[in-house]
Amino acid sequence: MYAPKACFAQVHDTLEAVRIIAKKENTTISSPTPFQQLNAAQIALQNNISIADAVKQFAGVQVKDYGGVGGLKTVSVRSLGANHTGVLYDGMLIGNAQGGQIDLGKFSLDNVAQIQLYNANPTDILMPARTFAAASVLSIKTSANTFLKEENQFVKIKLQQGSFGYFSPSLSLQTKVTPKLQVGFSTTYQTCKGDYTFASYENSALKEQRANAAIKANRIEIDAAYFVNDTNKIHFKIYNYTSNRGLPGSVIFYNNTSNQNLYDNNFFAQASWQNKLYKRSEYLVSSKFSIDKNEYVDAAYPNASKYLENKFVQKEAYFSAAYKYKLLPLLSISFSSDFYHNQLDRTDTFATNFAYPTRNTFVTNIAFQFVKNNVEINGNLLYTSIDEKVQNGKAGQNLQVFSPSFSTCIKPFTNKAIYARVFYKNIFRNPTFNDLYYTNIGNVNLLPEYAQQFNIGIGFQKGNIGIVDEITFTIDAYSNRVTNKILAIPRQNLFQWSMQNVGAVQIKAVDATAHLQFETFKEVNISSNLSYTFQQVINVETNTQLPYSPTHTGSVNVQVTYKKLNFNYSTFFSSYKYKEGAAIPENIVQGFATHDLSVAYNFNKQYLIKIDANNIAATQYEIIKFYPMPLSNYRISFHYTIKNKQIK
Amino acid sequence: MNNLKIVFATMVSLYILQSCKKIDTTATPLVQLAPAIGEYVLSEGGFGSNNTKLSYYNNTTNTVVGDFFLQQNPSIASGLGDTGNDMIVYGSKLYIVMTVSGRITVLNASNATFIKNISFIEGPVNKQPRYITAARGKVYVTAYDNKVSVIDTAVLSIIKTIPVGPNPEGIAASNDYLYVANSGGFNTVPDSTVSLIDLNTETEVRKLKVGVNPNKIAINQAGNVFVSAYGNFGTIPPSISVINGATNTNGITLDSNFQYSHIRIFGDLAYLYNNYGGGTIKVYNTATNTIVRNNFITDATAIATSYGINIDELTGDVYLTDAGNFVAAGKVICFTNAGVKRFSFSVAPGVSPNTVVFRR
Repeated sequence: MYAPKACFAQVHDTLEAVRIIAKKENTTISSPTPFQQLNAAQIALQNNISIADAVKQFAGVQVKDYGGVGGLKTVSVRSLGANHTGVLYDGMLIGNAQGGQIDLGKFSLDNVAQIQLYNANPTDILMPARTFAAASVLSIKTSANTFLKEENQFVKIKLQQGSFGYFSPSLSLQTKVTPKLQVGFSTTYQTCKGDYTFASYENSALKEQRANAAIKANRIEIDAAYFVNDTNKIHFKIYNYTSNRGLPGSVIFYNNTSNQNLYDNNFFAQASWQNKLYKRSEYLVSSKFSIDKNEYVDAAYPNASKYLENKFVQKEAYFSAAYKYKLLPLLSISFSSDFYHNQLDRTDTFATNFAYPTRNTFVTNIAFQFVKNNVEINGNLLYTSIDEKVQNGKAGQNLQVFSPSFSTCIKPFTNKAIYARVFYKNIFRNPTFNDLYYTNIGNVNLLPEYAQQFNIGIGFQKGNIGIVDEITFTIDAYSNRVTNKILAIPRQNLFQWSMQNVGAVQIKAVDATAHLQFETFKEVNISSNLSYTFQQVINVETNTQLPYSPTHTGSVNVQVTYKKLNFNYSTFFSSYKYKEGAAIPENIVQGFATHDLSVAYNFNKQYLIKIDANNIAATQYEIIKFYPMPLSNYRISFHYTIKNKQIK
Repeated sequence: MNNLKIVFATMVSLYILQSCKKIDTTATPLVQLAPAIGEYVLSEGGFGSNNTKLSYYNNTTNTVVGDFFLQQNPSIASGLGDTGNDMIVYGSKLYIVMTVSGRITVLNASNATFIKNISFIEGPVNKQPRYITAARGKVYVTAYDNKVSVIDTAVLSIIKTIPVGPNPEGIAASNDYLYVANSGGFNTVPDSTVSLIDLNTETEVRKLKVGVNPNKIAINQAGNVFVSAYGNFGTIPPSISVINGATNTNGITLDSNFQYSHIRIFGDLAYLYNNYGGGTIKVYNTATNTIVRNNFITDATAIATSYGINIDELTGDVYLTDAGNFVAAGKVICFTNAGVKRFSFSVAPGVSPNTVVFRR
């Protein structure tokens, strides 16, 4: 779902073209591994602030949102846990050896061209080996990665102002320095006081305000892309994000003190070169260096100095080479090999005997892709070797693992757009540095956590059903199993926890998506996206529902365009779930539905003004227990876009 | 434990006399304890879960009310709050120490109806009250502002604070003194002292050396003070130190047979345990300096996590709270002092029960 209409229109053409170009752009229905996507045009008209807001409308996605602009937002796909989601930013994986989970609240939508969520992995086999090493992949592509075609210069300015002191200006520009060299610059500044009101837990007739929830953040991206020709492209990118935020914490009854802050700085520089050598050969080489700093401060810690800080610096160097060869007209094979080095330093004075771990990871992947008119078969075997060292204490376990995956899609009827697909993937996530070495909590004896996925699905597309111009529908049933799950469990008392490999999780679920394009009637254009997930996520040990795994979740998005006006309505719903602890009524987190509305007016192609009204029913809800979400809130934004053809 | 006798005595006399609040501040002569008619159980819940529960077990009907606080105080639907860490009955009142919610909640001991909250939040900081004891008509509470707060039991407010060492935890009174365990547990190097406070002047007299990261304090019939300490959770094991109650000089640490972080004493019998890992409870005679039993339980009753021990001062019955996996509902098991199970009950929805007190 969520594919632009143009993409659906390609279905037949693309399949027929397979023989000639041997490169097939899979659609959401014809892909052997399910994927969902959103493009820039859809994103611009919806109510989302960050990537996390956007992806929660995908089927099978659970966003853990701690509330507010500054609240942590992580994405678990198909209930495997956030550590199993790989995030690609312009084609390269964002590493986080320290915590393992990527906070998607940090990624703005201002310069995003496309968001794609792949279960298992993308079906393109010319990819860095590491792309195959996650249970699912969220790919974020910025506009800097696409070549300006007609225009020579593109400038986008966006100003946003909203409730709770939200203010965010952004600027993106791209310009062709020469016909082949394109440079880009993009920046966003974001500030939010975050002091939203919520219904008091102590007395629901009263309102309370979230305290210590302010955030200030800025992001800068600089890109240079050299397009030698259609099949030869070099891309450089520098990314820097800095934020300073209060950590309001969970609501504690009768105590609204909050004295914790977090400073983050994420920097990376990456380069990639993709080239088609001859008719049959193609390669992709890339490298990336990243430095991630995070500094946690507790200004009321009950130690002698009444102050605690934890300062971490994480570094990664990453090299990747991938090669694809068309062995036979219908069969391609690829070989890719990645090496990455991770290290974690702790730089505050409170560190005692910190491990200072370094990890060298070597992943090699062999993949094949067989594409015929009505059949696509993909398979790969990934080999991972991890070598870990520490300066103090015992190091985590070294590791050598083979991980396979397999997927296929068939089109049984030549003249009908109906597809059937199957995939299997068995992958693992290694314990993070925090899992292994966090003071008093870490456990160096941890084993990797395995995630095994098995999926069968059907997708179809049909045109002209009454007032519906076109419908695209997918349904996938899957059975996943997580074993050796890494969880924090209490060890010595409630202030002393320990990471352990405990138990297993069995997931049985169905994801359904639909895209509806209605007939244009009197210049009114209506389209709709729907998604729904039914899941049973069982802790095998206790035979009870796993915490934070609602049985029903779904979303409906409707976009209505009339001349220069655009209306967007989104609803997102979730049935009840349990918080951590026993599955008893006491631990229920109530189900909820939110309704968001936005109206945009396009003065001409240059100016757009948009008003967002979020949670219009003023539902008091929480995704994480005792982290209340905002009631009704509003944003107004102004977009100014210039596409300049004159500049040469 | 002498002070506790006075506590119970006071309570009993109140129970009999149906007395008014004023008596709380008056010394009461020691009388024979009445049998317990029920037990209050405090379950701390999970950190940040706002699920501290007060349960009540009725000894006559053998029934338990899991959320007794809510039943008796339906207008306070949000409950006690977060991390109830300790509880005592003193005079006619039940005092519950809410560490993370930052206050002491005072209830009527007879029926658990609400009387008052005493806040430990000062400006932007929660002082985090930890443990509580009572002596001479006053209640004393340790807190992470590194002070002992003195509560007047008639007006129910803090009337004075007494500076002690870092992160004070356990507190006990005996004769003219209060003993406070200075854990320093939040410092890089923990503390290893006990503050000796003169009850007449309510000031610290001196600090006495004990094991590293002291935690609980218990006093035997002879007035000797036993201090259990956590160690550093690594190279330094838990320990028990003994302070001579007559001289109040530095403690003497017992040998490696006594690596326990928790202690309770009834009469001269000390119950030693670690509140994790499922280890056994050792029974030690503090008067004769002999180990009575290495495993208190003699009938093979299984315990997952011995989280708290309280003793009925009339019968000597031992009420052991089992925190299980700290996630599922906890339970209380009552043993005879011979280690034979008498009965047990679940405190669901209470999680991690830590303290039992008796209603007489």
